[in-house]
Amino acid sequence: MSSSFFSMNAFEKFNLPFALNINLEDLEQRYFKAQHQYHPDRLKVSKVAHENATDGYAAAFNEAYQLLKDPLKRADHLLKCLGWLASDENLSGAQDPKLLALMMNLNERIEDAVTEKAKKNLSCFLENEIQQSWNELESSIDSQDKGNAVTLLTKLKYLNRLKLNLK
Amino acid sequence: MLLQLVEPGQTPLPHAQEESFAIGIDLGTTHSLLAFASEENAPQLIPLQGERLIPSAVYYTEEGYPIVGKKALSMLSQDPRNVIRSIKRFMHYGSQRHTLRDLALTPVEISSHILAYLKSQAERQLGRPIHKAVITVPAYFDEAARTATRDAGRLAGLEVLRLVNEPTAAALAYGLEKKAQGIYAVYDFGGGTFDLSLLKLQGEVFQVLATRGDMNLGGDDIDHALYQECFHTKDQTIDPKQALFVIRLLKEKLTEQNEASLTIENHAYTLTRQHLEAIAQPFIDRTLEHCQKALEDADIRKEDIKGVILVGGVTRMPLIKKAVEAFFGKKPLDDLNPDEVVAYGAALQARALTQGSNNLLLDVAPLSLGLETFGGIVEKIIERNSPLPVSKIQEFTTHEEGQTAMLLHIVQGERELVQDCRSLARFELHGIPPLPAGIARIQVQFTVDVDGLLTVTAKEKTTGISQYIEIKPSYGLSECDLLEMISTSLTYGQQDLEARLLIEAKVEAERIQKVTLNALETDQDLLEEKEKKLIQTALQSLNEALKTQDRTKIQQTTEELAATTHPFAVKRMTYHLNEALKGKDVTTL
Repeated sequence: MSSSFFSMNAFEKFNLPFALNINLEDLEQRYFKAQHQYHPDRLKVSKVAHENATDGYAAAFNEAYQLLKDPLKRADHLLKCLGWLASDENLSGAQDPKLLALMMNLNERIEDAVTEKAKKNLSCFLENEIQQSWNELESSIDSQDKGNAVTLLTKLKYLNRLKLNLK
Repeated sequence: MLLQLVEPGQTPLPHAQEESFAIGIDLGTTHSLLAFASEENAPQLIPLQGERLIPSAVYYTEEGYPIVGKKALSMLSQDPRNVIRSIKRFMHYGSQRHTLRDLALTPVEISSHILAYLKSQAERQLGRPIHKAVITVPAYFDEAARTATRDAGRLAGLEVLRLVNEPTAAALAYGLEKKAQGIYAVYDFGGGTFDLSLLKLQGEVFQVLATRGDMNLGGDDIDHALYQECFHTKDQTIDPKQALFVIRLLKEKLTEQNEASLTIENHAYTLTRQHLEAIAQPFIDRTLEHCQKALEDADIRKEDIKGVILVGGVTRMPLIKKAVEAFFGKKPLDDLNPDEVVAYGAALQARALTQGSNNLLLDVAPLSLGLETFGGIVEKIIERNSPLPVSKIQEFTTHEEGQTAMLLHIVQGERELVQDCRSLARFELHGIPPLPAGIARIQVQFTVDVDGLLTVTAKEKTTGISQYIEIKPSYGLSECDLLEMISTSLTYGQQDLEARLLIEAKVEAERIQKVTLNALETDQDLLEEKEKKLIQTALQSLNEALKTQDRTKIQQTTEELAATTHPFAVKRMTYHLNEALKGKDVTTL
């Protein structure tokens, strides 16, 4: 590996296909393998083998692992790699009127959900909505539908935040 | 990379031999333990004078000499004022001084006295010098406490190979000795701190998924609560330090009994288990809150947990065992002694770092790191539970035209406001090229290494200008303070840098002085009266300078004398050359 390693995206660092859905167990094995090689504890005993060339590799693999492990961070990273999102862009407010309407509707439902049962129902609804949006995101990436993909990612981030708030 | 801010203690001690030997030290609040693992064997404790657990107590003699361990505790009855216990609780206030005799000692120094004792005793026991160690720290120790621990090791003459988190060390011991696999929770309730860590043990990998805790929640807090309630009002005659020790003894007895009593100097003290449990309950509840949060952080259900490992002496309390069992829905493991398991793990890691191993510890940052922004708001740079090492780059710009410096304030903690977090370091970034506001692009890189210690490096991108900046060690002791301590405690007579430079300057001045005086004695005839006077004046002012401790002045006058005598030196060279050549044939030269 050369100095260009640091300019690789997270998928490339782990030599993984450039896809929204990845095998998490496979990712973990690749991560462990990388750390087995580059973790500072390992380098301490095998200094001669790696002298200097590996400074920062362990941290870079850690960062890449964190990006790929979490579905939303992975989706965000993927869209940025595709150039559909600027590298320093942070998705927040929604521009899409349909999404805006959904958000307002959900906000009301969260406020109304006071009983355990209502919360559970809402949680199920969110879960389904997330799964569905995720599938849509995957197909919009496949069909190169840039605008839709960005909207769906915004929606997913929002739904996920609601899910956390509900807990 | 331009400026590298390195914390003190990065230079290894010069012991080339003994490369492959290191011990594990569990530097505990109440007890400390030493263990060591030889090649293929299970790790074993190194008992010191027959004791497996060495009390982390220090007594200072009239001469200021530290006595560590059981003997120190025994001085509690006669001279409690000069005994110190639980110094680990003060490690994150590393510069706060404790008065013992006429010494004002920092927690770093007191801890180093404990470590130095452990080191020397173990050397005697094993019959070989010890230069390297792995020291364990609570997972929830902040940067300041970690740095202080490492510095204490350094002061004691130990190269600290790694600071390993106690729960991680415990999991390592369980994983290797008991072949544990799967997700484990480590419930670590020590004398001073509590933390709960969730680890995934898979093959040779020990991966920490999340850690939660409280640096100020330990068995000592239960003791203090008991003291406040039972002893403080009832019996004013007993010294608080003695009282706390009596409480601890009673508490330990209650592990097996329902009622405990002790008679010390005709005073009888009793405590019932019921009473202890009533006092301890709120503290236990707090630990369970952390357990719940850790599960949420790692997104793990209780059912996913294969086993719960107990660490720390406090977990011997039957009430705690019951509470942990009720919370996790399974009986906690105690195959390995909860007092000893951390030391075993430290020894295993010490072996791995010196002799190599296929095991891999992947630990996380226990607390978030952030920067102060406008209005005292914290901007997080490194999120807690990030796997270590971690490195993040943040870009800054200037706010004013021609601004050449910038103040950065790094804090550690989870809260939104700077005032609620622990301040780690404030440092100034100098040498920013004077550019219009907003043009300079300063990249600051924050790196937390596998010991959980922070390094900051910075670079100005538009011009590539690099400048060395100084970072003040987080816990308040400067590198200078530390160097002074090291020189006085380890290598007597080794002065700090400034003193050494002064001595060097004086030596050089005296050398030039002597050369000049000798030259005047033999060859002053070569000089005109005016030249002679100039040299005499220069000699005179050098003489004056030498009477001061002013290094700059000494160096200046030395240079002046050298310059004034330069023509004289040339004259002498020519003269002596001519003298030597007199009457000699050119061909014989």
